[in-house]
Amino acid sequence: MRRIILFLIIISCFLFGSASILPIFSIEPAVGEWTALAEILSPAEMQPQSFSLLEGVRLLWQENEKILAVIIGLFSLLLPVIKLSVLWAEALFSGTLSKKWMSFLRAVSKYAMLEVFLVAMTVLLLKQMPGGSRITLESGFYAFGVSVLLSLVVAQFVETQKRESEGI
Amino acid sequence: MTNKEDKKYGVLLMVLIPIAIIFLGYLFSKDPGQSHGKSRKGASSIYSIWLTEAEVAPTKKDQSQWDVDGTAPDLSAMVVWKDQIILNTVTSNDSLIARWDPIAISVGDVFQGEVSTSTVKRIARIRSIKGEKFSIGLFDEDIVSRDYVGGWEIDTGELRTGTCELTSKGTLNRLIISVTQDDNLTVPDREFKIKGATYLEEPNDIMLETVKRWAKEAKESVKELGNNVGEKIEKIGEQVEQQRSRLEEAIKETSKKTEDKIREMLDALRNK
Repeated sequence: MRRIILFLIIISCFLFGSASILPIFSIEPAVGEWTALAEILSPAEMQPQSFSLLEGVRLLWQENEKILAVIIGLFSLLLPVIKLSVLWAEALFSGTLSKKWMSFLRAVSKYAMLEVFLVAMTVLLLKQMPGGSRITLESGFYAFGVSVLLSLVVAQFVETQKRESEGI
Repeated sequence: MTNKEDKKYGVLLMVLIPIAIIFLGYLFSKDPGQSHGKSRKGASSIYSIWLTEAEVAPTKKDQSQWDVDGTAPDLSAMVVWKDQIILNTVTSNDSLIARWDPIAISVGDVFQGEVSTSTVKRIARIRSIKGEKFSIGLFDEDIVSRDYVGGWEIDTGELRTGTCELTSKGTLNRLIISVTQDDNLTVPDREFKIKGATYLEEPNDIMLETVKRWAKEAKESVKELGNNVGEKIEKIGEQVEQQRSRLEEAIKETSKKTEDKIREMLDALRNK
């Protein structure tokens, strides 16, 4: 069981690392019937654009949206790393984690889906944008999603193991 | 191993191994990510520049009026890089504060059917290399010449995306430049400062040569126009002269015919 958990954490970590640099979604801008004119006047802005997690945080920081950059950076980059590290430690030294760490793990797990939620919200908003702008989910989104789901499964396993060991 | 050592080892494993695997995943996907997204390695140092606004003093350096008729100067600007003029703005007539857009459609281009993204964009593209400079010159345009107002020399290495305001106590009080990348005409909402910019009291050699050449061309055009007008007047005079001669001949002929007719009639009367 421990081996399976460690293996799942390794996959989750690897996918998370990939998801941080792979494009999460791409936008194809459009302005309705003016699209052709806009493509002549500003071709660079009408080019499809892809955004990765790291690039998104960097762009937000550069655009002086520092609070948003910190929030996204914290919840989508830092907290998942902490969560995976804590899970790894718990899987490696099963049953050694204190209650304090376990409550921390639960708290972190709650926020780990925030990025997926943010992306889903963005997709929803852009799908309803006028002008025919299109948004497409890219490989980074799926890598991140699978990483988060795996970490959730692992967290569940770890908690079950903990309860079993406490019961014994 | 003691408990303390175990804990230390555990902390190290706890932190380092997952981070190492995350970094491995990052490295594994780095290249595909860059090629899929915006790979700008080659283009990252090329900036698109245009002049947004320029404000000049109410009088010339010698305290005289800008124009004889009391109107404000007709301001235009040029950007020089690598001893080449890479941007000439349109003229902002009668203004102490001139503004320019990065897009201007030339009527000539429209008639020639050559309107494209490159012809409508009035921007200068400059590669950022530390130590290499480019200059901006502002001119007051007259009928046959351009008077230098003021300018700036800027290190290309100091260019950043956004807007930059340059102020001086010279005749060119204020100059705002907009800088973007990849020909993007949307300027990021941030300001940057250029520390190593030098105010140019006099135009540099390229600007001077260009202005002189333009003045010469303008004078020649005026002269040619004058000559053409003279030739046309002469032609019209000749035509008028010809018409007058024809008229005179016609009158003479008509008079002669009338005279002959009268004589014939008189002769006929006498015979009767």
